Amino acid sequence: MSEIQWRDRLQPALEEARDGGKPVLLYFWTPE
Amino acid sequence: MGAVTYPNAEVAEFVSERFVPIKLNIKEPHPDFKEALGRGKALWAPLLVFLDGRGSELRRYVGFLPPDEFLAELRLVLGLSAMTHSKFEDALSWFDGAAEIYPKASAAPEALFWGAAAGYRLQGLAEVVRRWDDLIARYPETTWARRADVVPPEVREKLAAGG
Repeated sequence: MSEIQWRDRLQPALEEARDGGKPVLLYFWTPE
Repeated sequence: MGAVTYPNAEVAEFVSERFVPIKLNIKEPHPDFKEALGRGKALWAPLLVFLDGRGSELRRYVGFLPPDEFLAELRLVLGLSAMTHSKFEDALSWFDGAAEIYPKASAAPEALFWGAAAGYRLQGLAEVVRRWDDLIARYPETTWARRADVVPPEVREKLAAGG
């Protein structure tokens, strides 16, 4: 079963987004 | 989202292929939190913020989305992203796909609205009017239909006359 691999730092994610031509999805959540 | 939508296999595959996902707990300190949030505030969770690779915000959404609604929303975001890169044919494909695959999703009429904008960039005024009329016919009670209902009669007459 596939699972989303969440990144945890912004700048590496932006670099990855630029390199891959993808948007960044920021998911702000709370455990409550 | 974490219990229902993200574990959905279609959602997980689509997000993994098309997006770079980051997860931030709003109750815990994080060194990138302020920069990630931009100029807005996290008044409620879940909050979704979509950025392009330069960090420019594409879209912001607050509240839960079930899988189909979320998948439509993701297609809408990909269309907006393509628009920012002037890839209007790609944008049109994403917008039309959102509305055709998920016609009952709340993002569907908005996707048609933006599809008209992309159509305008590709084919001019007649195309935006044609697409907006289609939006109004299919989703007459939505805010997107009201936003599209702006074409004055003289413009329609001019288009009908071939101008």
